[in-house]
Amino acid sequence: MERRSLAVLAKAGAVLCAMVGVSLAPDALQTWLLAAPAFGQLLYQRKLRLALSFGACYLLLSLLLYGIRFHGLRMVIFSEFYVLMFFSLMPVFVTAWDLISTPPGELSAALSQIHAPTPVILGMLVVFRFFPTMKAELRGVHQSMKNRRLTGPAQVLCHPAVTCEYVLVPLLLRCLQIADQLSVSAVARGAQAPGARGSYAATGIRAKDLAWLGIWAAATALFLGMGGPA
Amino acid sequence: MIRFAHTCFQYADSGDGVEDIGLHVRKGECVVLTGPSGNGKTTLTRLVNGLAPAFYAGRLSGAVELGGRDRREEPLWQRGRLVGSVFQDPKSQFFSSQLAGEVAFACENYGIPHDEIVSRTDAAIRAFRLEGLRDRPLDVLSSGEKQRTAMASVCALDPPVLVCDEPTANLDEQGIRELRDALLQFKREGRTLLIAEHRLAWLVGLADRFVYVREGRLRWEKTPEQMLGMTEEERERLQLRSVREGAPAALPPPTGEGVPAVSLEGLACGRGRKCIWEDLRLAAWPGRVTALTGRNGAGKTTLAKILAGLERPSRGEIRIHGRKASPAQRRKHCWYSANDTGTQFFTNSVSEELLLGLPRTQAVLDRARALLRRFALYAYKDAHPAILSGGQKQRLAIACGLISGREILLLDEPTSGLDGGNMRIIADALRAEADHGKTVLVITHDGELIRACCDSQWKLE
Amino acid sequence: METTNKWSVRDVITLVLMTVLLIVMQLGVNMICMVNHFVSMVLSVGITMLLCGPVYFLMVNRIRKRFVSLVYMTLLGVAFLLMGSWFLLPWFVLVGVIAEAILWKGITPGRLTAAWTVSSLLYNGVNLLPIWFFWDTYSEFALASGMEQSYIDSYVRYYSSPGWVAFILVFATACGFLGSLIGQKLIGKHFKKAGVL
Repeated sequence: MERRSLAVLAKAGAVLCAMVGVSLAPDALQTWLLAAPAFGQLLYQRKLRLALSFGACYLLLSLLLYGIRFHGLRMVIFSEFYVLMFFSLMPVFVTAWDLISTPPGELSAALSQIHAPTPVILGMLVVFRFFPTMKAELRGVHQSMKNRRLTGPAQVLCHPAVTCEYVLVPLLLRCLQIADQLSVSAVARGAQAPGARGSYAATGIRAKDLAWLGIWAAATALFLGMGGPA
Repeated sequence: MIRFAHTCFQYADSGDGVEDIGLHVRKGECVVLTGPSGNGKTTLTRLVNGLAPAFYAGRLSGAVELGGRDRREEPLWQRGRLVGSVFQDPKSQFFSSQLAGEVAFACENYGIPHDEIVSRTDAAIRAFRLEGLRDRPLDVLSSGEKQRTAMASVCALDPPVLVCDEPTANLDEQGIRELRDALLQFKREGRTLLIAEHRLAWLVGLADRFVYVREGRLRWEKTPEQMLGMTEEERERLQLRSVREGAPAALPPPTGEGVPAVSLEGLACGRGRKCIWEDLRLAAWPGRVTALTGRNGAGKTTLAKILAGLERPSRGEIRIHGRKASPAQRRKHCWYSANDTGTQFFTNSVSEELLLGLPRTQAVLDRARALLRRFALYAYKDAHPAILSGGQKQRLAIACGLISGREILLLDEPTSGLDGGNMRIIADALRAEADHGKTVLVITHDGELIRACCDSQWKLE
Repeated sequence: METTNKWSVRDVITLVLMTVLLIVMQLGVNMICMVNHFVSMVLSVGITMLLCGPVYFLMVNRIRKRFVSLVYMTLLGVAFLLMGSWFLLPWFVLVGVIAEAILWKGITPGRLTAAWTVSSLLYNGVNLLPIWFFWDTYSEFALASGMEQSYIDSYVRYYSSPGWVAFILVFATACGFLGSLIGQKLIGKHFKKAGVL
C-alpha cells in the first residue's frame, strides 16, 4: 500500500497556517473553517482513531459552547472562557499533534535537510524520549512511595512539603542519570561528528504534499479575508 | 588489535581508576574482563571506546593502541567507527521510539549518504533478526530484543572492534542466548571482542581468554578450560560467578503446613484487551524461599506488584494468613523491592533511608545499626543513597524491607547485574530471613541465586 | 567547577530534558488551576514558580554555562506560542535575557535567587499581558464565549483593581523567592551530597 502520510514540510506548513489563522482570527467562532482542513488532513492520512478522539473533543466543546451561548449554561468549574479558547485552538492542536506524532526519524531527516545544527536535532530527539521515560519513572516513584507507605492521606496532608520532596528528588536524580546515559550513548555513536547529518527516512516532497500546502494557504487566506482585517 | 602497555588512568572526580595495565587483544579474539564490581573493568572498556578520558575526564598515562596506533589525539567521534559499544541498560540509550530510526542513528550521525544508510540499516535489522519488530514501539520490546536493537545500531557502522559492558545485566536466559548467537556471528566475521561481565557461564565457547581485574590491576589470565577447572572455594574467594551452566534447578512447587502466609485463587490480570495471565493459583508458607520464574514479559513483576498491593488484579482474590486482603491491607504485610533501585530512595542518607517512617525508639535504632553492619553498609551510613553502587543499593533496599517488619518479602530480580560476592550476601540474607519465619518470594532468572537460597520454585507460564 | 562556554552533548541533553520537565510542570499546574478562576488568576503563577524553583536551580547548577536560562525561557515562550499566545514568545525571550544579565558575571546562589525571583515577577505576564495590552481582543473574545459584560468585569476584577494586582505580583514574587530558598536547600541537602553537582 502506498504511504499516505504527508511529508514533514507539509505538516509544518499546516501548523503554521493554523497558528497564523487562529492568532489573527477576526471571529473565534469561525475557526471551524480551519478545523475542517485540519480534520481533513487526519482523514486523508487514514489516522482514523486520532480523528475520532479529536472529533469527540471538538463536538463536546461545540455543545458546551452552544449551551453557553444560547441557553445561558454556566459551569461551576472550568470557565466559559477556556471553552472558547480550546474550541478556537483546535485547528492548532490537531495539526500540531499530527506533526509531533510523526516518527522522530522523519522529523530529524527534515531538520537535517534544512541544515539544522546537530545539537538542535539531538535536542528534538531527546524531547520525544522524555515523555515515555518520565511516565515510567513517575510510576516507579509512586509505587515505591506506596510501598513505603508514604502516600496515605494523613502523610500527604500533614507533610505536603516533605511529600513534594519525596517525589521531586528521586525524579530529578533520575532525570540527570538518564541525561548522562543518553549522552554516553550519543557520544559513543558519533554524535559529535562534524558535517551534515545523514538520514534514513526519505525527505522527498511529493505532489500531494504540495497540494495540501496549497489547501492550507487557500483556507487561511479565505478565512482571514472573510472577516476583513481584525 | 587492542594493546595496553603500562596504562594508568585516574578519574578526575573520584581518584579511582586502573594501574599498570598490560594486555594485548589480537584481531578476531574475544577477551572477557571479570572480577568484583567497582574494580576497574568498566574503566578498561572506556579506555578502548575512548569515553575515558574524552567523556569521563581523568589522567591517562602509558599507551592504549588500537589497530597499532595510539589514538589519543584523535577526536572521540572518529573512535566510534572503529569501536562499537554495547552497554548495560539498552532502554536508557535509545534516541528513537522506532526500530529503524534507532538502528540508523549512528550512521546518520556520520553523515553517510541516504541510500547507504538504508542498505546498512536494513542489513543490520535482518542480521539481528529484528525484521518483525519494525512497527512496534521500542518501549514495548522485551529486554533481549532491546539489547539486540542496541547491537544492531552499533553494527550497522561495521566497526572492527566491539566492547560490551555487562551486556546481560537485564536479560533472561532467552535474551542471553540471542545475544550470544549475535556475538558468535560477530566473532566469526573476524572481529575483535572485549567484554566486561560478571555472568560467566554464557561466555564459555565464545571467549578465548578470561582476565581477572581487581583493585585496578590485571591479576591473572585463564583459558576457558582453566576457568572450568576452578574449584568452588576458589571462585568464592575471587567473588566470581559460576562458569558452568548449572542444570536447571528442579525444585518442587511451594508446599507447607498450616495456613499459608499468602495465597491466591483464580487471579487474572489484563492490560487493555490483552490478558497477561489468568486463573493463577499459588500459595507460599513462612520459612520458605520460593523462586518465581518464567520468561521475560510473562507478567512476574505485575504479579508481585499485585501481591504487594501496588496494583489491582482484574479478577480473583488474595488471602494473607487465610484472610481476604485489600490492597491497603496487603501493603501492611508485604514488602516489594523493585529490580530498578533508581526510584526507591527518598532521603539524603543511608541511615535516614532505613529509618524512614519508623518510630525512632532505641530498639529500632539498634536493629538499624545491626542491619547496616550485616549488609556491609555501616561505612556508608551517612552517604547519600544515590552514590551507592548497584549491589549496595540492592542491599539497602532489602535492609529497608527487613526493618519494616513486614512478614512477606517480594523481591524482583535482586541479583541482576551483581557480582558473585554481592549475590552471595543477598542469598544468605534471604535464607536467614526465611529461617526466622518470614515468607520470601523472589523473582529471578539467576540460576545461581536459586541454587544458593531457594527451596521451592513456581513457574509462571 | 569551572564555567566554560563550550557546550558538550551532555549539556545539551541535560538542558533539553530539564527544560521539558519544567515546561510540563508549568503547563500542568496551569491546566489544573483552570478549574477555579480565583486559583487560576491569583495563585497559579505563585504555585508554579514555587514548585519549579528547585528544578531551575538544579538545571543551572548542573550545566553551569551561559544561556541556559535564555534557552529555557525561549522554549517556554514557544510552548505558549503553540497555546495561542504569540506575544508571550518575545516576552519570555526578554525575561530570559534579563535572567542571563543577572547571571552574566558568574553563577552564585545569590544571583540565581535574584534571577528566579525576577523571573517569577515577570512570569505574571502570562496572565496580565493579554488583559492589559490586548484588552479589546480579550473582551471581544470573552463576549464571544458567551459571557455577559458584567460577568466579565467581575471576572477580571483581579487584574483591574490595583489592590489585587499588587497582591498577585507580591504573591508570585514571594513564592519565587521561597522556591529559590527551597532549591538552594535541596541542592545542599541532596544534590551536592549525591555527587551530581
